[in-house]
Order: sequence, then C-alpha cells, then structure tokens
Amino acid sequence: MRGPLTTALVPHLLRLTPRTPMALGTATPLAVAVLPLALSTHLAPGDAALLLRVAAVLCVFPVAFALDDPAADTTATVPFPATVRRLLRLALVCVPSAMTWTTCALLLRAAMHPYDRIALPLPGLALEAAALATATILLSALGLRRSGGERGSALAAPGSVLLPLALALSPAREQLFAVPYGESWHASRWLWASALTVAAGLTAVLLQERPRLNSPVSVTT
Amino acid sequence: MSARAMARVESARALRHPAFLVAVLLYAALWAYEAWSEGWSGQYPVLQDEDRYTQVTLLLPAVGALIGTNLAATRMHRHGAQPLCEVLALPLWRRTLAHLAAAVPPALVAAVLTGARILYAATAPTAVGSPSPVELVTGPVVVLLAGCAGVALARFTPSATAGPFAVLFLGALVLSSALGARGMKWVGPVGVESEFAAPLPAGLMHRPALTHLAYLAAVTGVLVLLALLRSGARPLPARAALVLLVATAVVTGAVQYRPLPDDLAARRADAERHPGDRQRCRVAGQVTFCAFPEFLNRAEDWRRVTDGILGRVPAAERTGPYAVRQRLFLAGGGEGVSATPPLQAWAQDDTRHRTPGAVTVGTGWGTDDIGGGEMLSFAVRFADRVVSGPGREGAPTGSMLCRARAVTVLWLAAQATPETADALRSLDRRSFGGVTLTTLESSQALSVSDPEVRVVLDLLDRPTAEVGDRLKSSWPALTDDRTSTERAARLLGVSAPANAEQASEGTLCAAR
Repeated sequence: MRGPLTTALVPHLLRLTPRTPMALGTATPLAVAVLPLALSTHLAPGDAALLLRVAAVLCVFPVAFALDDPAADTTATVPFPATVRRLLRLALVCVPSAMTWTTCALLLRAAMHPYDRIALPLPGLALEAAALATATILLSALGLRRSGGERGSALAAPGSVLLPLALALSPAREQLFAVPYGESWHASRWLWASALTVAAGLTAVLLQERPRLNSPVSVTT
Repeated sequence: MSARAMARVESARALRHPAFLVAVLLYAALWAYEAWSEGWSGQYPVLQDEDRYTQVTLLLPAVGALIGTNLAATRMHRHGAQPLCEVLALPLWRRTLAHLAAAVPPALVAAVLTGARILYAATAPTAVGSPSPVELVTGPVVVLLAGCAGVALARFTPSATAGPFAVLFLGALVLSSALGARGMKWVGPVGVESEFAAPLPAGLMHRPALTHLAYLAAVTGVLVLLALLRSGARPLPARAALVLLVATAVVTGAVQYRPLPDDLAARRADAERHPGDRQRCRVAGQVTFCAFPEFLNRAEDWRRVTDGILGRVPAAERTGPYAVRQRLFLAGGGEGVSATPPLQAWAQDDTRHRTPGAVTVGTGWGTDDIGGGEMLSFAVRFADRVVSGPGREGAPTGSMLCRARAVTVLWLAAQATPETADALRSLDRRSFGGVTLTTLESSQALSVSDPEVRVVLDLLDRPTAEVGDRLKSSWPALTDDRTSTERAARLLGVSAPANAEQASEGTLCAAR
C-alpha cells in the first residue's frame, strides 16, 4: 500500500525541493571543478584534493534546506509517516548532490596528469563529504525540532558553512584534512568514519516522528 | 530618536544572535584547544606575525555577524510581517541604518578577542618582536564589513540562502589568497602569507597593511551606502558618496599590489649579506649569540640547545669560544631547495664582527614541522661545529655526515632538548633513506644516512646520562668518520642495523 503512495508523493516533493540552493549547490562546485580543465592546468594531487574538498562544502549546501517544510502544520495531518516523507525529501536533494560531487571528482581527476591520478583517493574524500552532509542533516533535524518541523535550514544553513570553517581553522586541521596518503591520512579516515557514524545515529533518532499528545493542528480564530 | 532606540535593540539582539554566539564559542573553543594542546612551552610567537594570525581566526565571528545581521534584516519578511511595515512611521532607510549600527557591537567583541589573543601571545615567555596596531585593527574591521554585508544583502534579496552563500563566497576569497592565486591576495578580507616563509624583522616586512585597511573601510562604506540606497535614502548625496567610495576602493585595492620598494629591497639585501651591521650580541658562557634586536630574546631558546650539546662534550674538547648568528636567506622557502646562500659574504661579515665561524640560526623556531625542522637543523649545525672545529661555514654547499661522526653529531643535536628529540622523530617519519637538514631552506645542507639515524633513534630511547658517559669515554673514536657505524653503536651501547655499511655505498661517505 505504502509503495504506490510513496511514488505518488514524489512529484509533489520534487516540486518542493529548494531550487535556489540546489542551483547554487550544483553550479558553483561544477565551476570550481571545471576551472583547472578550462585552464589546461595539470593539478597536483594535493591541489585536486583541496578543490574537491571545497566542492564538497558547496555540494552539501543545498542539503541544509532539504527538510524545510513551511507547511508543516498542514502536512502533519497527512496519512503518511513524517519519517518517510523526510527521507524522501532528503533523497531528492542528496542524490543530485552526490551526483554533482561525483562529477566534480571526475573533472578534477581528468585535470590531473595520468600518472598522478592514483594519488587522489576518491573513496577517502567521499567519506569526508558524506560525513559533512550527515552533520548538516543532523543540524537540519535539530532545526526542525526547534521550529515545529518548518525550518531546519535556520540551523543547518549557517552550520553547514560554520562547521567546515571551524574545522579548517582548528589546530587539528592537518589531522582532519590530511594530505592524501600522508602521515595522518589513515588515522583521519577513522576520525571521519566515526563522525559519520555518530552523526548518522543521532540523525536517525531525531528524524523519528514524535508521538503527538494533542491534536496535531490547533486552529485559532 | 526611534532609529536610535531601534539601533540599541538590534545591537543587543546582534550580540545575542545564535549564529554570532556559536561563532564566538567556536572561536573560544579552538583557542582553548590550541592553548591546551600546545601550551606555552611549545609556542615561540613572533609578534609581528601573530598580529595578522589574529585576522584569520576572526573569520568565525565575521561569519556569525554576517549571518546574524542578514537574518535580523530579513526578520519581517521571514515572519510574513513585511506588509505591516508600511504603516510604520520610521522610514525603511532609517530602519536599515539601525540594522547597520547593529554591526558595530560584534566588531567591538572582535576587537576585545584580538586584544586578548595578542596579549596572550605577548605574555608568553618565549615571545619576540612587536605587533602592528594596523594589523590588529584589520580583524575587527573585517567583522564590521561582514555585518554590513549581511544587511546590504538583505536589502537586495530576502532569501535565506543568501547569507550562508555569501559566507561561502567570503571563504573562497580567503582560500584564493591562501593558495596564492594570481592577483587574489588582497582582494578578500585577509591577505594570507606563505606559511613556509620565515619571519622577518618588522622593518624588513612588505605588507600593505594600512592600504588594505583603507580598502576594507572603503568596501564597508560601499556596502553601507548600497544598503541605504536600496532602502530609499536620499539618492543624490548617497550616490555621490557611493561613487567616491567605489573609486577609493578601486584605487586602494590596486595600490595594495605595488611592488617591493627599491629602498626596502636594498635594506633586505644588506640585512641578508651583512646581518652583523644590524645586530646586537649577548654572551652566555662560551657562546656569543648575535641576533636582530627584536629577536635577541630568542637567544635564551638557542642557549638551551647549545648548553644541551656542550654539556655532553668532554671539557677538553670544547674548543670555544663559539658564536651563533641569526641570518636571513630570502631566496629560501617552500619553492624547492635550490638557491645557494651567500657563504662568502657571511664569513666576511663574521670576521668583521669578531665572530669567526659563527653557526647560522634562522628567524623561525617552533615545535611544528617547519619550526621543529629549523630547531633541529640549528642543533645539528652547532653540534657539527663543536665536533669538527671551526671553519665549516665557508665549506662547499651540501655535505654528508658519515659513520661514527654522523651518529655523534646527530645524537648530540637530538638529545639537546626534548623538543629537538621530537623534531628528529617527526622528521624521520616524513623522510626516506635518512634525513637532510638544510640551512635556511637553501642548497647548503647536512645529511645523515638511514643506518646512522636508526642508531640515534635507538640511543634516544636509552638513558641520556649513560649514553653521554659512553660518548665522553670514547670521544676520539666516535668523532672520527673512519670509525664504522657498527663500532660506534657498540661503543654507545646499542646495536647497528645489519646493512649499515652497505647503506653508505654509492653515497659521498663511500669515497671517504
């Protein structure tokens, strides 16, 4: 029963995807990634990793707006679990963002000398991007709790830019954003994997629908 | 009157805004983490560099201010109350002015944070140099600019996407400056210098700090006027002021890129070739330390290293007096090791100032990879001078320490302080086939092969006093580079790697 309903829901949720953040979160990382190819520059592995990290921050940006639901008061009465609706909303933003990131990765890899390409660890860098995206979803879920399910982006959008900036300025930046295959590369992957796991766990808890004690909609005159 | 009241309310709200509070808390947390993880013992601040480091960390409060003021200026729109504003007696441009005034308190908080930060660095017992007030003011002005940018942006679009995306744009400008992108260094809020560049005496620095401050002030003015014009301020005077400020921003922006002035280039060249003319010296025991006046307090840190080395040398072998001279090598740095230092000029300078054979020390010092490398490099040069006697400063560039003497010199240098021992361990992790210690990132270097490094690392795990006693009792054999590495290891109480002799085949050591 739920399968056809889910399918029926997709076009409506698609219409509600945050268009401006999606456009910015697609155009800017692609511009960053295509620049070295356009300038015919052979990127060093370190520079390619840095640009891919910048692209990841830009790709994650629309994720901050994915869970926003200005009509939360109304949609609370929809006979469909809020958790499933939220997961669908996330999928509609996260999948294109992941595709944008992958395109950026391929573009930057293409801008490297063929001998250097092996030195760009895409799975390890994808782990960073995934952890950043999950942390943004976690902030969005927290924002939803604080805004009655309406505006997760109020917390997630500033968080999605403050968090990477704080990490980049932290004294531990060389351990976090480690040089690919450098001294702290493998240790940093464990760190990102742990962050991803913790953020995913907390997000799963926060995205659960809260039991309603009162009527979901209060009508005032 | 009511605009002033609104400014007061908005100012208080700006300071209490979650985005600004979180940013300040993150700033404080990062500072606390840095202080806790490094402590004062691991910090060697050079205050004419520390002043600009305060600017980069203030980007966090700047981001908080931008998001906070942007959300405040779009508050009515987000709450769907915009139509109600039409009935307010206070015109929109005056309300905008109140929002712009609310950008000042976060800038004042940033000024307090900057003051606290530089005070913290200056009170470190190892601090040298003096900060530039202009560089210190720049950080708070960046926060003010960010706050005004948030309001101006709100007057162009009420979109919730705009604020955070403007932050990403700001970040891109800083990143471009940090990466040295052509023509981008001074466009953004902060002009980032190469982290590989050694500190310079304040009088030899080339940073257009005052021009950059004027540029930031002009850009802030442009943002203020744009916000006011969009809000319906009287167009004619505001437009005239806007044109003037845009012109100022363009001119100051361009002036920032003026090349190194000729007189500064001449002073730099003179300080590089004849440092003795500008330096003061301090005698401590057997060693004379000469440095640029603002770095003279660093002699205490150098002395800990020289004392640590001389204390392990038999009294009869300390053929002092020794001299240590601080030097600059402006062609050195992160662009690859290739340039040759002016050894001849340095030797003549030493002779003229009665410090023949003075050991070179740079302006960098610290416990990170770069500073630790400088520290260990100086320790090895000094230990080499002690073991082999005077006259090596004029030696051909590039030199290899071999066999027993390599073990002795490297151990003396590494055991001098716990920090030099850590620096060797760190360098070993980052090196392959031995270690190379350059003089101020030039082509002059001392190298030690891998077997000798392994022996020294083993020795560092043994009691220093015991190894020191063994060294003193076998000094002649252990300072002779014809003594094999195996024998040196045996004499010092450890075993050498099996392939110690084969490892030197094909190197300069094999020819000796």
